[in-house]
Amino acid sequence: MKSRREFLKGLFATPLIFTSCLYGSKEEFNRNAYSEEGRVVIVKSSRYGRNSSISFSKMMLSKGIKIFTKSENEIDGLKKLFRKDDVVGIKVNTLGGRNLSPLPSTVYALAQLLVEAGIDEDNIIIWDRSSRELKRAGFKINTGKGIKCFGTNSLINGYDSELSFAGSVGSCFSKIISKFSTAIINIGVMKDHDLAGISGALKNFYGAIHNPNKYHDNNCSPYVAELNTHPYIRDKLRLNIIDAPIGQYHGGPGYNPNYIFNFKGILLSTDQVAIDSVILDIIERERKKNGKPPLKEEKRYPKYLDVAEKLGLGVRDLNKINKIEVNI
Amino acid sequence: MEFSRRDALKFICLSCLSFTTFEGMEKNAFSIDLSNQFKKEEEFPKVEAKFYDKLKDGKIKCKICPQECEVTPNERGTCGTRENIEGKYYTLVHSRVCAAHIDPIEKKPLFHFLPGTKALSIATPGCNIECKYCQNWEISQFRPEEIKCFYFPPRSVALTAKKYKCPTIAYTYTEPTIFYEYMYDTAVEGKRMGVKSVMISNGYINRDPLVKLIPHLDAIKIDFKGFSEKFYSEICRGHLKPVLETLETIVEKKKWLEIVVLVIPTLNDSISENRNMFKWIKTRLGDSIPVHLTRFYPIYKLKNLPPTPISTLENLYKTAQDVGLKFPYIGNVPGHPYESTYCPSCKKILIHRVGFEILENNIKNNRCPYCGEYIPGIFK
Ligand code: SF4
Repeated sequence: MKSRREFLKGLFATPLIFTSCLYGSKEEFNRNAYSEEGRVVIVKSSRYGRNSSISFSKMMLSKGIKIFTKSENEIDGLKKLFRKDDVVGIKVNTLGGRNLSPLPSTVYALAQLLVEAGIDEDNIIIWDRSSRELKRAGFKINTGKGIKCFGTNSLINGYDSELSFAGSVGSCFSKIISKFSTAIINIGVMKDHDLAGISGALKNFYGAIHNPNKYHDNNCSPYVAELNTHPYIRDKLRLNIIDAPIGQYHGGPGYNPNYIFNFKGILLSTDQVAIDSVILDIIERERKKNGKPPLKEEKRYPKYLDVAEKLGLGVRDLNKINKIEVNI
Repeated sequence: MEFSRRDALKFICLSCLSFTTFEGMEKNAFSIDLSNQFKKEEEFPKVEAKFYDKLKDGKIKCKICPQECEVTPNERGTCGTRENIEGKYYTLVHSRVCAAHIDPIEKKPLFHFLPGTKALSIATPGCNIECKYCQNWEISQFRPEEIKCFYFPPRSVALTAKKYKCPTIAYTYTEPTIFYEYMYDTAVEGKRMGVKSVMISNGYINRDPLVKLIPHLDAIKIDFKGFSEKFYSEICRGHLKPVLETLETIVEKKKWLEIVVLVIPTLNDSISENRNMFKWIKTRLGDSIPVHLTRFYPIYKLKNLPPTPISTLENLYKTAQDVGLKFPYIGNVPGHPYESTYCPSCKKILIHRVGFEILENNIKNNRCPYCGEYIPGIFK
């Protein structure tokens, strides 16, 4: 068996530096991490947008984390979700380019909060499928010391060589999720998806497998739901965030300025189904406001949400979701 | 330099079931060294795709294959190799090879096409369907940026074929339909230099692109995966009808065609289903189309099934003969007597094969030397 150092050396020309790493060790997840089904916190501010500073984003996030985790402050809240020795993978969705991806300022603000909560900055990876998409969305690639940021494709053999199965999905996972991370934060956006209906929290993990294109038929159902039952996701996912200074109610998943609406908020939840149900509701309302038919009529209703609920991934019924909205 | 199994796989042929390590390949005089052609992701050319319609809101509809993907900006179709960039559709795999090797033409398999010659065989990453038993899934089911690729433009391919005395370029290993533009340009360039082209395909291609491509090809091999819609949709994420149409179009355009049927225990090995398939081949395509009945080995998402019993292949071989097909073969069973070509009239052996080796070839001017029976194919 390769030593950890040998393994890491094989990934880049220069080795990645982690002060702790899952690879080669037994699974040691924080199974007691705080989580609450059917609870979604929305933090809004009229000042939240593309030009928000890291400190402003930090304030928004802090508020949300504190309320969601029912803690004295955001640091205590994060400590309920993460252990000090966690390697935290922050999976962002950067397909929408600079205009429709999580704001780098917000993602880096979150990384800073994690550091303040005691996580070593060497053990934080901001990641997506490709470094090209990350760069296009405004992130700075770093594979050296400190908070890392890179796409799976920047690794030599970035995907597992063996297939993993989850229901009808059979894929090779990014090693960032399967081998490096002990905890995952999932940061999606609030947007329409021409095949899946919407792309928020659950759909974001299509960016963690090698063959997402093969799972787009039948509105990506049941594939999106089944993928999220895989232990790499289910055991490691600590928090879902939808970063929504804006949303897109039609023409997605790429950015289309004709269908953008202002939302000026951040949603947080440990329940992927609940957070997606909330954004589906917001998107449907915007569609209606703008004269677009419901997704069902366009045969794009995200059926995978119902499947996800049946698979025990969270709460689908809006009436059962505890939605807490605060304004800054 | 580290090489993974996937890197090694780049050099594996579809019908070759043993893995060859890269170290081994370096010693192999027939492997093509493209290491000085390595390009970074952003350096590969993006070539505008053929056969697509522009729709509303920057969306496009790709019409190369029956998937007919509708793709929004920044997204890709099912094959993962074509991307909508600001309302224009681009192929990302033009000149971007993940496998280049010199194989016996018998390995494709093409048995009635220049027997005993070599084919410069190339592939790019990607496929438009997903067979659960894909032998080459580690290159066919990945996106181009997930696999180490080399820059190998059409002219270099044709020149390399000439350099290594290959009369043919084979588009193979993955699905050439998804690298249509590259295959097309290479076939044109090859023809200009006197090098032939053969397409080794699943047949999942639309009629229009196929008809435009056929004049530049010299032979086509189609994987006929099963004779039921259920098999195609459940095991391959495709549909049967377009493949039937492709087969008929190839025959209608008088292009040399051979068919492979990979026989998988319990899934497509029933005598009655295959008899119906053979009857369809005979009536719609003719009785002279070579049909290769090849042995399945467990791999990819079908590891739970055993290899095909040889007796199953032999029974199907006899069924094909009973139906009236003149040139059935058994494949992936090296040394089996039904790898060889027999005269359908006098039954004498015409081409004696062992594995991919030709021990004797008695065909003269497309005729059996013993009884004068016409033997279809391109033998010179
Ligand atoms: S070639 Fe690719 S993008 Fe085009 S229709 Fe086929 S699968 Fe879709």
